[in-house]
Amino acid sequence: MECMEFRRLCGGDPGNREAAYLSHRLACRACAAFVEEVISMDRLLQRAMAVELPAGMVDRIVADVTMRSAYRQRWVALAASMVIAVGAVVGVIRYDSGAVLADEVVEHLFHEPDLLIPVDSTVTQARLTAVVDRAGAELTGGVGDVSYAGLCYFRGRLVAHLVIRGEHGPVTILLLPDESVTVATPIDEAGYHGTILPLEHGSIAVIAEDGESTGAVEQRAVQVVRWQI
Amino acid sequence: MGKEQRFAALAEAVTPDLYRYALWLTRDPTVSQDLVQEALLRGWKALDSLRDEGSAKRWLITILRRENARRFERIRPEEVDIDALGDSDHHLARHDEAPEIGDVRQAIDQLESEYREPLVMQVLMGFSTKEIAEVMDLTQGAVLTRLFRARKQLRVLLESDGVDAWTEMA
Repeated sequence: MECMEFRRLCGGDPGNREAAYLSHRLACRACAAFVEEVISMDRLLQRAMAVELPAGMVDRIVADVTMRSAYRQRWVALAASMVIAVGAVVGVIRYDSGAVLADEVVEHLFHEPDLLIPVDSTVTQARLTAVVDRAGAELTGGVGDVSYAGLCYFRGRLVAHLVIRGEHGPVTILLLPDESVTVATPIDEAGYHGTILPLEHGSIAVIAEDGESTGAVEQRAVQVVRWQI
Repeated sequence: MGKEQRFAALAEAVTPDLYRYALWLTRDPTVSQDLVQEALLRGWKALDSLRDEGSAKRWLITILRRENARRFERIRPEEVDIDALGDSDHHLARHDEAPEIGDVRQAIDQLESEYREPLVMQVLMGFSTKEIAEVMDLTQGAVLTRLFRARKQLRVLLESDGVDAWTEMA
């Protein structure tokens, strides 16, 4: 190794541990003196660089960081509890809104008592399609043996009111494209039972007199009913 | 040992070097304290993944450099002459220091930051050229060149004995 190359390496890293560097240092007294001078200068640099810390800086930072972290943890816990509380309130509101909707569905049935009486007539496919279409929905398949299909007002909007011939009596379906429920909401009052089923942005109410099963109609309804865009 | 105790031990060990590095980087004691605090806050969050003091220090320096760069993205701060800072504020001077220390500080302060920064990491913090290269995202060769030029410039600025031996080298 040449002296110039050695000194260049030394200027970059006086503590270089490469064999050629160490070998030259041992062999060349002038370069060994150069290294000593660099190391001596580095000691001076180190002292100059080692400015003192502001008094109490470490303690201040430790206290501040741990306090901020504890504050953040408390805040996160508080935020989490608030989310839970808000969720619970929203859940109650939704539950309440579902229950109110169920009441209104039953009340609607009582406004049209004739439709609760079993009949032998069957609605034509054309009428069924026209009613469902006018109510902003469509059927992609058979929903059952339809004995009635009409349009009626529910919460100020024209909705499709269908009656399906059940095993023991009529099963009513209301297609409610504007009434949203987040979960299936049971109906059970005044001798009637059923479910308000969520379907995208709307819902389908299926209701029957106690003793008549609604399960099969519910299952078919959610499979074949689609809302128009 | 609990998390707070481990963090306090880490902060005790690394804060002096972090602060000094930050001060030579920014030349502003207040900003330096903020940068150290920000880096250590990140250190607190990542405490469980920090293996040892050495790797923690390199990681924290990287964080500190990044935070300092962000500071420049927001606003171009005015730099402060490090030797013009009052001793009572940040304890730059020590009672037992040699008179030439002030001259050396001024010389370091006059270095371009691209030379001053790796020199502080090597001389003050004991980083290897490989570690400096990793922190600064440079090749090891580039780091060696910067360090050589930093020492050469210091010799010229301080008019040291043997300065001719350095100026002969390009």
